[in-house]
Formats: sequence, structure tokens, C-alpha cells
Amino acid sequence: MEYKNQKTLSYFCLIWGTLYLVAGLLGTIKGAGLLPEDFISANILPPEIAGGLVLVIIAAIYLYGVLEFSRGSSEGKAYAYVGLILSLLFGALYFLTFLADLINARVLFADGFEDWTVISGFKPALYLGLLSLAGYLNLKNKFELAE
Amino acid sequence: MSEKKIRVAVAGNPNVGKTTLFNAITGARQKVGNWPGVTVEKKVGSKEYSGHMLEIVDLPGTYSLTAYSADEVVARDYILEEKPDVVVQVLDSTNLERNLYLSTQLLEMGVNLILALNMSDLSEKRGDRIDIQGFEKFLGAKVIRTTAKEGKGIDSLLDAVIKKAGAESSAHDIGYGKEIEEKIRNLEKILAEDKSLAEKYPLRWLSVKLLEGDENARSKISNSRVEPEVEKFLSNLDLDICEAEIADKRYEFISRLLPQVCTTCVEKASPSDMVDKVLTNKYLGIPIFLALMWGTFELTFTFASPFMEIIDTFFGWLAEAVAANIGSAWLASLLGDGLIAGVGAVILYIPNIFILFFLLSLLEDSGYLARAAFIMDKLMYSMGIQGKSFIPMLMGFGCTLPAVMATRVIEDEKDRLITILVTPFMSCGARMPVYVLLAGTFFGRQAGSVIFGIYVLGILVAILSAKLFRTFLFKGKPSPFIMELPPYHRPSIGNSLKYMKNQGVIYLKKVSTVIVGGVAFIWLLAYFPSGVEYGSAESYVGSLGKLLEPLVAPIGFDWKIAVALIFGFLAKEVVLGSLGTLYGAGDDEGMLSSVLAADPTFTPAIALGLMVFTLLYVPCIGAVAVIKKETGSWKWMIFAAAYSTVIAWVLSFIFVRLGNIMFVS
Repeated sequence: MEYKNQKTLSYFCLIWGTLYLVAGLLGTIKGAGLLPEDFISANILPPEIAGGLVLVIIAAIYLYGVLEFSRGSSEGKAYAYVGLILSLLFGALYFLTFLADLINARVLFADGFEDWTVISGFKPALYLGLLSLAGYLNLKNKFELAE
Repeated sequence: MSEKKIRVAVAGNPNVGKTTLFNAITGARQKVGNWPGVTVEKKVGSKEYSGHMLEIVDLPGTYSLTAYSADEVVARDYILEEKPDVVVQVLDSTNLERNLYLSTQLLEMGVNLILALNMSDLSEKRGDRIDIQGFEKFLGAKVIRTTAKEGKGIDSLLDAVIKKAGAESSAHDIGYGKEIEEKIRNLEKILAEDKSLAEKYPLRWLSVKLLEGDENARSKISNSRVEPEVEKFLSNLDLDICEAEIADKRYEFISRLLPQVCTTCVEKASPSDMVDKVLTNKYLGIPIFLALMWGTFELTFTFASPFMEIIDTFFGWLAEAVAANIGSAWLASLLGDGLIAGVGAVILYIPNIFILFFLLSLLEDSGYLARAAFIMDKLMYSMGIQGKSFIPMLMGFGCTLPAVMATRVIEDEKDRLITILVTPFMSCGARMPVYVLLAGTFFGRQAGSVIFGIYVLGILVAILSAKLFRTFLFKGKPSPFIMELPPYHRPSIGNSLKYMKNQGVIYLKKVSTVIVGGVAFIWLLAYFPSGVEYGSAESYVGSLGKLLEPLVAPIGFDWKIAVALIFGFLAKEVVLGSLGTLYGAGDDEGMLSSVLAADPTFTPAIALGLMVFTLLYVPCIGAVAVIKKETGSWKWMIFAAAYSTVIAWVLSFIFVRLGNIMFVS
């Protein structure tokens, strides 16, 4: 049973790690101006150096977990757990930012938010965070760090 | 009664009930003083028992005998030089793994050791089954169960003390592996050539200490004829690696011993331990810390923006109402250009302050900030300060005053002084409004990242300054950092809200006193002499600014910035209040942000330079006073103020130049 759980979490870490790594790297490279602005719509992948690097760090945690699982260590579970917590935390952070932008643009009509759209406010950390939430709800029992 | 007095030293880790046991034995028969030459408390008591007179010395609580702190030196030197008849080590039975580290060192010293397994009631209650006989067999020391707070086991302990006092002591060696053992043997051979040294100290113990790079042990051979040969031998070794290997072997010994004497005492990894494996991982720990700090500042900036917009609108309306309804020109100017512009510029950032304190409180409450200190320890140690210094430094993100006061937790005087001098570089909450205004005005959507960068710059300057001070002013090594990490727990939203409210109230009080006074004073200087244009170069403030301008002109700052920085010495928020007053940003159209953006001399590079200067230059008057109080020296206070201002000047100059290149290109 434990072996099966570890295998499932190992796949989870691999998929999530890859998703975060791709989104983070592309966002960072785009933010640094090394990719054309029209390379994947800015609504899906905005240019963002710091935000992109955060996604890369989360990816590194998941991928470190894969490494631990491949060594047969149960510590991989801790990496999956922390990776998930950070995915949810940064998802929540971007959700609050989304709400603040929404109020600025649609309620207060603040300067600088004239071109803001709901789609443009939906950043990678937010949709990956929502995806992580779905992943967590599906695999809830496997994430428990029981003694 | 026996003629000979039995001298007993009571050793142990801090908080294991050592003093409770000492009090239980000696009762009121105690003398309290200081150990010679240090401010470490010395407690000596006596007890008549079974016809023997016992003299009991309560040694300072230590985790090891590595002689890094005054406590450790006192404890070790007493055992070595005074050679007590018996050493009683008090252990916390519920945490044997940690306590046994000291036991391994005492055993190496060849003392007549008795282990008092204290708090045995708690350990029994949680179901630990300790094999006392097995313990004694493995360690070659007598083991007694005690519950000092209830006086249980004291008689058995004293019986064992009397029995042990006459017995011959023998050292219990821990195997350090082939390579280290060979080095120990070689050193022992060299040391044995000095007979007086061999008579005074156990040579194996001394060799181990020398391999650990123990400065105190080195001083013990400083007058010996074998010293040059020992130094030559040690100079070919990497003592840091030797020290780490020796510590590893001691822990290995404990981890082999424990399962054999108490299977239930071997702690399984708790969820908190497992999370720590990730958050304190040597590759991922610092990046995760930086990511969390970035998230904190990003949210502080972005989530506060609608609230700021509302406050901004309110002050715009208020300024218009004042302008329309007050007939007297000077009063309208005082209220509009002075108070509303100045105070409004500061109040605008209250949402940021509230959110920042709330988030920092959540991080602290969860137990994460203690890990941050642990993660930073290695980097900090290499830069000349210990990880414990990071706690006051982190507090400096809130306010420099309590942060400087919090350095009292650092025992080593040099470490403490260095920490006091570098803590003001950690950006306090009062400086944040300046960053939010300037970053928001000149760096748009990247503002959060720019502010994060400013905070990181503060940490870097603090750490590099510590290295500089350690190299030139306070030579020596920092004390090692030992702290117990609290388990993680879900942070309490209620506690964090309370903390946020308290800090917010402090900020508002400051706005209503120091800042109102400061901006009113600046308004006076900007309005008079009568007849001149408000805030112009001809006003008093203009004359003052022109006088100071040459000092900051090479950076690219004008006289208005010079005045704002000077008045920022009262409180950092006044920098913003002063700019608001000087730029006359009282009405909505003239909001400070718009006015600054429209000013051709206020470029993004200048804004960056001003943020750097505000971050690094002399802390506010309150913080300077606390530095004087905590260092007890005018010299260090003046040094702290002068050093920070020079660093601010130099780095602002560099950042403006870099900014000019980057932002133009």
C-alpha cells in the first residue's frame, strides 16, 4: 500500500514539477526579454522574472521529491507535501492579487488598470495553484505525513 | 563525619532541571557569586549526608564542552583544573538523544561520572522503558533515575556519589574512525613528550580537542615545548572537517547506543521533522526562504492597492474641501500643503504596513521564521555572525528599536555588538511607504519585485558589513548557534490580526505625533519668510536644502531630497511627508506620485537611488538612542550613524549610475 502511494506521489511530483518548471522558465526568459512578446499569449504566460523564478523553485522541490522517491526514500513524500503547500500558498497569493486588480479595474476605475481583463489577471501561479488544489483533493490521503 | 570533603560538580544541558536538583540537594545552604573573570553565575552549596560533607558546584548549563562560549569554558575548566571527585550530569529523560552528546564529552575527560536521568516521571508517563543496567554497562557510568522537582531519587543519587567518590575513574573512548584515530594517536605521541602536560590533562581528550580546532585547548599548550610541533602537525589538517567528523561520530555513537537501552526513546521522524528536511534542505532552503519573502512583499504591494486608492481619493477630496472653504491663505496652505499633503502621504501606506505585519506574524506563528535563522546560519557564520543574530535582524523588518534590544539574546559580546551595528540595515516598516511610493510611481507592475530587491539589498549589506567588522574590528570566530526549532503549527489568524493591529496603532500614533509635528515644521520653513513662493528655493527650507545640496548632488539628488532625508532622521516616514509638503502635493491632481513622475529631475534611477539611500542611511533618532543604550558607548553610536550614512551615499551613487545606464538603454 505504502509502495503504491509512493509511486502515485512520485508521478504527481514529476508531472507538477515539469508543469511548474516549464511555466516558470518560460515566464522568466520572457520577462528577461529573451523571447518575443507574442510567444504564447501574454494572458497565458505573462513576462515575469521574479514570479517565474518562484515557479522554478516550486518545480525544484517537486523534482527533488522525484529524486528521493527514485532512491526508495520515503522522504520524497515530504517534498511532495511542501511543494503542494507552496503551490497552494502562491496560488492564494495570486488569487488575492487578482481580486485586488479586479476591484481596482471594475469598482474603483483606478489609473493604470484600463486595459486589465479577467483573463490577463489569471496568472500561471493561479491556474497551477487551482490545478494543485484539484490534485490535492484527489490524492488527499496520500499526502498525510503520519508518524 | 568523614574528614575529607567530597566535591561534586553538577553539569547538564540548559533546562534539564539541573538547578532544581541542585536546590533539592543543598536546600538553603548555597552561596551565589561569579566565576573568576567572567559574568557567569557560580552557585556553590553544601550537604551533610551519611557522615560525609559534600560540596556541590552548579556548573553553567551547556550543550557541549567545546569552549565556544564563556559558559562552556567555565564548566570545562572547572572539571579539568579543579578535578571534582564526582561529576553528576543531569539529563532530561524525555530527550536523551540530545543530552547524551555532553555525556560523550564528559566520558572522554575521564571523570567519575554519574548520570541523573531527571524528569523520569514524564518519560515513564509517555511509556519510555529505559534499561538502566544496559546504560551503565555501555557507558561505564552509574545511572540514577530522579524527579528533582518532587525530590525523588535524591538519596539514591547521593549514595552513588559517596560510592563513586572513592572509585578510580577511567576514560570511555569513542571510536572516531581510522583516519581521525590515527591523527589522535600521532598527537598523543607529541603531547606525551611534555610530562607536565600529561600529568595535567587526559592526552586523548586534549588531542581530540586540538583536532576540533578548540582555541581554549590550544591555549593550554601555549607554554609547552611541544607547541611548535603540535602547531606544525595541525597546520597540515583541515580542522573544520575534523571537527565535523568528530561530531558525526559522537552522534553515531549515541544513535547506536539508544536503541539498545531504550527502544521507545528513538524518536521517529515527525511530520514537522519531515517538513524541515525540505525547508532546511541545503540547496532548497535559501531559495524557498527568498520565494516566501518575495511573496510577502508582492502581496503587501498588490493587495493593498485598492485600499490605497480609497485613501488617496479621500485625501484628494479633503484637500479640495479645505482649499474651497478656508478663506485664510496661510491656514489653507498649512492644512492643504502642509498637514494634508504631508500626513496624507504617510497615511496612504497604512494598508501596506498592516498587510506586511500580518504576513510576517503568520510566518512567525507558523514556526517558519525560526527555520529562517537556521537556514541562514551557515552563510551568517561564514560572514562573521551567528545564526541567532538573524532573529533580531528579522525583527528589524518590523522596527529597528525592538530589534536592537532583542540582541540581548546573544551571549557573546562581539557577536552582539556586530549584530547591533548591522540590524539597522534591515528595512523597517517605516521605510516601506517610501519604497511603495517610488517603486509604484517609477516601476509599475515590477514594483513588488523592486521592493523585494531593496529588502534583499538590506540583508546583503548587513551580512557583508558583519564580515567587514569581524575581519577588522572584532577579530575571532562567532559563537556556534544552537537552538531548538519549535514544531510547525497552523498560525492563528486571531493572533496575527492582533499583532497587526498593535503595530498599526504604533504607526498611527507616530503619524499623529512625530510626523504631524515634523511636517508642520517643514511647512513653516517652506512658507516663510512671507512673500516667497511656497517651498521655493528662496524659502527657509529652500536655503537649508541649498546648503545641504552639495553633499548629495554627486548622487543626483536635489535640495528637496536633501531636506527630506535630513528630516527623515526624526522618523523615516517623514521622508515621504517632507516630499509631500515640499512638492505641495495637497490636491488630487498634484498627488505626490504624479508630481514626482512629472518632475524631469526625478528619473527612475534617482528613485532607485533614493530608495537605497533611505534603506541604508542613519536610522531614526529613536533607533540611534537605543544603539547608544545597548552598546553603552557614544563611540559605537556615532560609528553606526556615520558608517551607515557613508554606505548609503556610496551605494546610492552606484545605483543611480547603474540605473542611468539600465533605464536609458
